[in-house]
Amino acid sequence: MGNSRVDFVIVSLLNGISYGLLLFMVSAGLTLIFGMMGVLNFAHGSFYMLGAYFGYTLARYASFWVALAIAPLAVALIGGFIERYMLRRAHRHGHAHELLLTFGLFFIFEELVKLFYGFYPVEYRMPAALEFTAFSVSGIDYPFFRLFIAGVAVAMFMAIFLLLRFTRAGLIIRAAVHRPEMVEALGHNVPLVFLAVFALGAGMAGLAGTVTGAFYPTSPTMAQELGMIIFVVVVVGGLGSIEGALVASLLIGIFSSFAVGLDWTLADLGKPFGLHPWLAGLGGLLTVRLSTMASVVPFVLMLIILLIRPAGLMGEKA
Amino acid sequence: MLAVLMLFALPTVLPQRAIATVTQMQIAALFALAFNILWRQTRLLSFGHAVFFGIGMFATVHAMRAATGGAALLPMPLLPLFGLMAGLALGVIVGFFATARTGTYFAMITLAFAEIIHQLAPQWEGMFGGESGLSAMRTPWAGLSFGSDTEVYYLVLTWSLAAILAIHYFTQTPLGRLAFALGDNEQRVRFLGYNARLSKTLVFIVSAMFTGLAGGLLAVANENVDHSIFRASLSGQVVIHTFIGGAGLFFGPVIGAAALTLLSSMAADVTRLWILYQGLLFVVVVMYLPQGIVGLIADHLALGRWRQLQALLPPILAGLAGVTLISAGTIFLAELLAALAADPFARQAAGGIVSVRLWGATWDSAAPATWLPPLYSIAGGMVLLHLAARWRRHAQLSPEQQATDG
Amino acid sequence: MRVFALAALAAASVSGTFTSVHADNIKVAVIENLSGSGSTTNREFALAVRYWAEQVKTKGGIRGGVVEYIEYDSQGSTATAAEKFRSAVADGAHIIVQGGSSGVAGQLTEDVRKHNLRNPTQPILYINPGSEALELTGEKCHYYFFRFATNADMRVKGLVTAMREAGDLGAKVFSINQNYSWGKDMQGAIDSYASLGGYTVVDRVLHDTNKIQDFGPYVARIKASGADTVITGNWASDLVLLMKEVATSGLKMKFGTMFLDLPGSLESAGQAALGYYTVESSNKEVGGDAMLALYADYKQRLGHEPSSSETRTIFAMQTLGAALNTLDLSKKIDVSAIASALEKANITTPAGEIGMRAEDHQAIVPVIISKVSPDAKYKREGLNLGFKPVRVIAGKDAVNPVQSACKMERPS
Repeated sequence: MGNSRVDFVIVSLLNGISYGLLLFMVSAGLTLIFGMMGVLNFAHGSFYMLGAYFGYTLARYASFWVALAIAPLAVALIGGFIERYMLRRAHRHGHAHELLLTFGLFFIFEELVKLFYGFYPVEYRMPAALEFTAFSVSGIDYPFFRLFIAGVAVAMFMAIFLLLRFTRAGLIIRAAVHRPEMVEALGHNVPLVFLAVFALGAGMAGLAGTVTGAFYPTSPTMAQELGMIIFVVVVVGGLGSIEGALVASLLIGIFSSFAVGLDWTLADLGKPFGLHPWLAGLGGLLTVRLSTMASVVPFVLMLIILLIRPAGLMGEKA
Repeated sequence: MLAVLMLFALPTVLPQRAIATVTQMQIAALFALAFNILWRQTRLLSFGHAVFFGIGMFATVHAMRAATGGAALLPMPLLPLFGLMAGLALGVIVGFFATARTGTYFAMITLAFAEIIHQLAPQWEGMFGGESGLSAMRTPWAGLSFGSDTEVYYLVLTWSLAAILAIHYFTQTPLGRLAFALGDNEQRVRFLGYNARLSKTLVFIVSAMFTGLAGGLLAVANENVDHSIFRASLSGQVVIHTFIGGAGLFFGPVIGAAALTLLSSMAADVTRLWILYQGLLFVVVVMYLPQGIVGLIADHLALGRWRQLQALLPPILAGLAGVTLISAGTIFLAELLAALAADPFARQAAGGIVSVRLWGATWDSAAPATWLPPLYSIAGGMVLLHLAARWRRHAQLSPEQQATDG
Repeated sequence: MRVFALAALAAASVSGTFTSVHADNIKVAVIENLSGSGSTTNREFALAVRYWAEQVKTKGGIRGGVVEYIEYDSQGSTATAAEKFRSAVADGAHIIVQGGSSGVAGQLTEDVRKHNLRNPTQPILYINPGSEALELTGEKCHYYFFRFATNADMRVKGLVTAMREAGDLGAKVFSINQNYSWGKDMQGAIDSYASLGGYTVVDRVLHDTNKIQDFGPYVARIKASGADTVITGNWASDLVLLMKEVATSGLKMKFGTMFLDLPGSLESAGQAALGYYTVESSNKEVGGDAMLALYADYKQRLGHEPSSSETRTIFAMQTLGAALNTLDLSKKIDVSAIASALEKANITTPAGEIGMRAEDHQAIVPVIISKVSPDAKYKREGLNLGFKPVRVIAGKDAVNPVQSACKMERPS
């Protein structure tokens, strides 16, 4: 019995980390965009979805590798177009209108995907070459593709980190995140920086979609499901902080993974006080198990962070 | 005033099935109006307003169930008051926390609360009834059985008018005026000595209260509710209704919500792309028409004198023609694409080129004659709109108008 | 002038006679999710009713009465469904058919009940060939509602009986289901038939419906529980993902499912589903030539072979047709007469006999348990696997007892 406990912990940890890294890939772009432009991009989940669908289409007519190279670029182009021709227009009318625009775009993308690809999930499969077991953990085979996803996420993190910290362009971007007017006064083309960051963020989300869409289901509701959780990640991690996004994604990924196996309830809190039978008798919310409530906890966490420390775990004080 | 009389007379001229639709339109309009209290005055954008609507609906359904069980606390027509009170109560909780922050953070707090309630509701079956929700029945009162759609229509109409008057009155009260000030410049309000946080919370509660009332009215109309009423897309829908109508005007959201509800009811049976069209319209309005469609019309009407309007006739007509062309072209293209994409089986069989049956005619997907007209239509429409904008700028306006206009 | 008036009078009386000879059309309204999310499975119910209506038309109607088919899109939302119900009533519908979401079914059955209370001379009948929530024939049962679908109890009872007989049911069962009425009904059923199946339920899980992308943690929990069999009521992506995850993790489990036969599910799961069991209402291999003829005709008219939702709906409508056949349709449509005829209706389908239980209006339908196998006669597209029937359980053995919660008020 003790052995299976340890097994459960190891497998859950591995699953949690790979899911968390997926969340990071998508939310990294979102946190950069928000940190720099103050725009909460409701359509960010849609970029993820578009990456998956473009990947599916390209993989069908060419190959997965072609898809991996081209799909993120296509999404980045779309992101750039949106920033240059749509967001800037809406910006004139105020911050809230930018928010509303991305909100409207989310609806449009979902409907367009349904128009072209139907309501069904599509059969986007990983290439046979990558479809093998990496290793075995306590009788459960761990598929290589999960490691591949994690690998892509880590590579992306390293690339962004190096870009931001060690290149001139990265320096300008970081400065523009904090003080856009000053950077503009110094003569840099800040609108171009905004465009580049938005496109980059979109491209990252698209890459995440192209890679994970082959493993997880690719369906028109992808954007909606993931979209909510990445808001939580971005808020908890700190708006604008890549490192924060990484920490928060892993935290939420691991928590979601473990929560499935834990049947704790609120009534259990009364156990050390001998109140458990009474609390359990009250029923209702007190007896709902953590495994079924797992989806709510991240939002409670988001709420707490927003109220107590809106800068998030690793963001700057606002 | 005339409008009110017309609304009262409406059931006499409408067919039976339309009466229920107009009832739904009124409820959507009230929902949007209540939502807009937050935006128009305090410039707070709430993305979770469906929870107040939903809690109002549930409270009223519970009250109706109690009434059929014999424990009526209020006469049937007054039961939506429970919805109002539930909205108020929830508004106190959410408002207190949400007003701690502003702008995007405020929106995210409302979003978080909405998601939490949406996820928890299915778990609490005693309160929210599980999958198929809770159902109730309208009980007779004062000789009226409330069994017919017409009686429900009048009940909802009475409540809606009362609520609209109340909300309008609210904008005239000191708190209402303060709310506008908060929206303009919160810091200045603070410097004037007011407790900004408390004021914002109170305005939030008023908004939530009337939203709950709207929910209560829907409960009376539908006699059933389930937890899907808390879904995020309903919160999104009220935002879309409000802004397409025109969030800067008192009646903007009312007309926007009523019109879109009507269109949705009519269009949904004809095309499955209705949500796409609504999204496109919303994006266009956000980008090019920040005052909303009603706002645009109101701007023109504000010009008052007929002579001014005459000068603007060419741009107005060009604008309308342009919009019609673009819409027609876009709809045609979208429906064509949908018809093509919907039948991959046939597409494969025909090697990619297929004839599509649309609106009784057959269109060959390979022929340019199928694709070019809508594209030309859209291009032409854009040219017309461009011309309309240009003519409007150059339109001969009287000196007073030139001073006030733009 | 007089001649003209007489002629007009004559014409009026003649046309009056004609109208009394020609019956009203029997208006069948389908209120279904035709365009919302989830519509791909739900619209099948509408397609099947349309097929039946066309069949009736080609045969010249029923007893001379014309069946008129009207479609309403509920978009998957209960509020829209309520609105469409009102439209259907205003359009004069006599019979409503809906089979998709149990949530919408719960709303509609209440709407129908209330309408019938308020309009006792013009009641409306509600036929449901697809929603399996127990409460529809339990606490929400009423005289004008007829359920032609199975329910969790019937399915699980059939499944465990057949699996045990075939030796494919282990002793330790892991019960995993979706967290809503259907899933909870399933969980309850799996627990209550444990002794019939000779197993113990070692762990049970309820999870979010069709939202979970990653079933890895659940597979870890299955492994930790030591189970050798999984029984689940999951459908669509929840089922496919669960099976795929079990397959990639290398765990060897026996599997009992309820909805593996829905279009797309087996194709998505592929080889991962080999040897898995499912419960169906119909299978092309069962029913001989009559069933094959039905499949072929359906494919010819609608472009695809019918799924079990569609065959179930067709049989339900055929039962209605049999009931209508016993009535005199030359006068005004009497819905309460249709209801009482439907209660006693009985038809023989290629898959077995179908009847209706008067106490709770639950149909008595046969249940077919099949296994995914390369030996199946009819394979799914692109796959060398199909559903091989293992056992056909007749309606009277499959049906569950009347629920005590159902207190049906019958018209006097």
